[in-house]
Amino acid sequence: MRKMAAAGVPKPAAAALMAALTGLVLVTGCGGGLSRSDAALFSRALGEEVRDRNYSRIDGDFDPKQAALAEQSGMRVEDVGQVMAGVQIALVGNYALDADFPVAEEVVAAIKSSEKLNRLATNKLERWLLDRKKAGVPGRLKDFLEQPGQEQLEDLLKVASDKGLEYGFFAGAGTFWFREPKTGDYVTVTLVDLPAEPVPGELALGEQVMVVMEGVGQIKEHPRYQVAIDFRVTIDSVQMWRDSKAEPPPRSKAKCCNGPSSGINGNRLEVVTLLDTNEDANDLLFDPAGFGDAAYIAKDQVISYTIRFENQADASAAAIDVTVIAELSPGFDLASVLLGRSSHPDVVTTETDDSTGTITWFFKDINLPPNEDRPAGAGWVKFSVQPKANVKSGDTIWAKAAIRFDYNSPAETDQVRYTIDSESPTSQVDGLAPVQLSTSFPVSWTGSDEESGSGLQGITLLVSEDGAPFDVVGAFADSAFQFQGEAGKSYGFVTIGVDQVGHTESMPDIADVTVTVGQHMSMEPGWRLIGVPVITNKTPREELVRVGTRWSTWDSAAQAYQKNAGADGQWLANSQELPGSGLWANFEAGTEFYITGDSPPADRAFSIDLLPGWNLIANPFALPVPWNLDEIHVRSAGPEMTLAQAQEYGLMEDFAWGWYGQAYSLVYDSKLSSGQAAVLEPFQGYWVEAHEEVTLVLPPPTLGRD
Amino acid sequence: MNSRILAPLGILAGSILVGIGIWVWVAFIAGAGAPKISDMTVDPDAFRFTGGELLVQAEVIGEQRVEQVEGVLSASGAVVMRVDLQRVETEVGDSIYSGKLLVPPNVRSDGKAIDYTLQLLATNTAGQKSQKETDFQVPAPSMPPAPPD
Repeated sequence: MRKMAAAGVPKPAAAALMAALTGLVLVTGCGGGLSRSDAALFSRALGEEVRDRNYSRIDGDFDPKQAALAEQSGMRVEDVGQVMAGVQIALVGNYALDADFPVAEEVVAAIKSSEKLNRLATNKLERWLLDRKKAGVPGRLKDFLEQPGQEQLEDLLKVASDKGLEYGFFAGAGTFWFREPKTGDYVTVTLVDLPAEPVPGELALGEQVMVVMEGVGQIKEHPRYQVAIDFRVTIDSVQMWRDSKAEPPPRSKAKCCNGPSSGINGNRLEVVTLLDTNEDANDLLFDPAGFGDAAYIAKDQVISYTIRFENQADASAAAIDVTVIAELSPGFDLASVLLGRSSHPDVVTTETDDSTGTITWFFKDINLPPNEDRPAGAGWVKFSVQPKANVKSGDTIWAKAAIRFDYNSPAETDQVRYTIDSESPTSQVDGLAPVQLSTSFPVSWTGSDEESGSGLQGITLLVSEDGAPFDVVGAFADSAFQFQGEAGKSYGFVTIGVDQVGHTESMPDIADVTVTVGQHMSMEPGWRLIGVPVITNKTPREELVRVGTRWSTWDSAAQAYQKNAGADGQWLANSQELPGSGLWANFEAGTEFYITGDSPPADRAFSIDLLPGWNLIANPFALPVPWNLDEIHVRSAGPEMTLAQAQEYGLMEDFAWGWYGQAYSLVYDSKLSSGQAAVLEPFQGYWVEAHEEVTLVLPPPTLGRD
Repeated sequence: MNSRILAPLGILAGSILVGIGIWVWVAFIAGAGAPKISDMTVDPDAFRFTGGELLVQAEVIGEQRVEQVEGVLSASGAVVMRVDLQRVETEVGDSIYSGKLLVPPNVRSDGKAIDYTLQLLATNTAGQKSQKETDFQVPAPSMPPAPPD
């Protein structure tokens, strides 16, 4: 750590250099954390809204599942592979936003104004230092700056020096830090590729936050580094980011359940447990977080772990050898283990023991120094693993890690537990009347996950129109949708459920429910006694007028027919309200048409006024109405009574007559007499005879009722 | 007269007289012992088109024990239903017989009534029979107006 003399170089120039050098800027403060309001404050500085969740990763791997989750939280999601030229700024602490230390704003301003940020940030310095270390040659920054091509970095450091900033370099992280000695605030400039995986969750004090900004312009991809060329600096999202370079938040200083180890070599191992909250800054990191408190995952989920260790800054000696042991519960398939990178690849060997379910990393002669010069005294290993194929829903799998420095007692992390969801959910469309008179009708469904599963996240509704292949209507978290169809077409519906871990129900072979929109009317020639159970849609009248040749209604007061000889639409339009009214119609041979419209609600009774004598009524519903003497009621001047009682009191007869082409046929209660019709069929008209002026109250029809 | 002639004639005449006597006696016994059916009632005495249950009751007495009282419902000469009437104990004795018959509904669509005959047949242990009958109608439901012309 050196301190350079100030020389009055303007701050924006320094920031511009930082940005120009890196394209990935990590701005940190040494105290406090970035709250959501802080993030918003930073956002306002850019004139954009900050959202509190990030969508997916930003390294070009577009993850539709995570994108879907982000969309559910109201975020705009893009295939970030298309906007890869991003600049990231991670903020830790409020100081970056402090007017007394406006470096962050300057950095941003520099990025905004930069016309060419195509200088690639590399790990050259880190590699250079490593090479020097292997060679046993001290790695001094001054020497590195003398390397060809490092003029920009040199300029940057010079600017920092001129500003009176202290600076240093975090080996292993590729990060320069710059510190304002008066306030203690500091800025770090990261020269390397992306840090660890983003961590889902809410922002909290003490967390590092990565602000992902969208860059537009020409994109040059690079296998390892993000390339920033021309930026339109808008904040897309803010996400938590764990970074061992950061000062750990206060609560993460708690020691592991087993406490720190003080070994004979005098080094100290700090293992911080963050497994439950996912918020602290160290030690056994895991991805994904799993769903819910039980951390549900799919049985084929690949779980990524990072085990980190640190020789505490106040240790008195370096750790010569470090052993890291990951223990996996029997539910894991060790054959699926993929070992990832480690912090010290040159000195590590690994061993996997199927019998004990352990993976061991031996860091021989790692010589991990006390972590005064962070993160020089820290290290990490990564691996991924999958559950066994035979795990079942509700099974719990766990992992934990133990870390040992030299001959010290190992420090253990807590267990990271997951619950398995192995099955797909089930769902189906609820029953619908096979004929939907209205072109707009509700489609509802029910679904559930297996008993020990993660639960149903939602369903996708699909429809097959007239037998065509199924097409997606939409994905819903609700349980109903108002479908819009067309008259004369059939629609088959199926649902595909998705549970909280992404299991998707298999596609059914056939539709759960198939309906036809509109009532198909196929008329034989001659007089037909019909009913049209439609209220609001005028199409039926027009359609009837169009297809009918002769019409006749019944004037109950006069006890005589009203006849119409031709297609007089006005005459029919002015006739009685259609639902509940019977009509005589004489059709030409082979007449076919569909009737659509809104039928009276099938969950309410329907009243038909009757005058003394014969009355021509119709089933007002699109469903059969049982002719039940106890359920059909009659209102008169007196109290409402059943049809059976009304007959006994002489108010009206308790039977009806229907016309079936050639002759009348009686309709009567099936309980009292068999052998005749016992329901009012939809779209049929009927005669009833009253002896007084009464109101016939037909009960709501019941689907599937006899 | 020659006794050889008179004797056979006497035997013949005697036999004829005995036969006539037996016939007269049998005829007397038969005519006097058949069950007597009286006070036959039906309830209801009129029906709706729905038909329904018909209660028939009558007093049946005779010098010989009454073995069976049967109700036979027929329409247009065809038997619709048979039922055995049961003897019921009453204050006036045990000669009252009662039974129920189910009269079918009339669902004809031509508006015409159906004519029924209810016949009671009583038989005693000597096989002597007597009968009594009554007629009634089941009307059709009232018919609506004919379709338009």
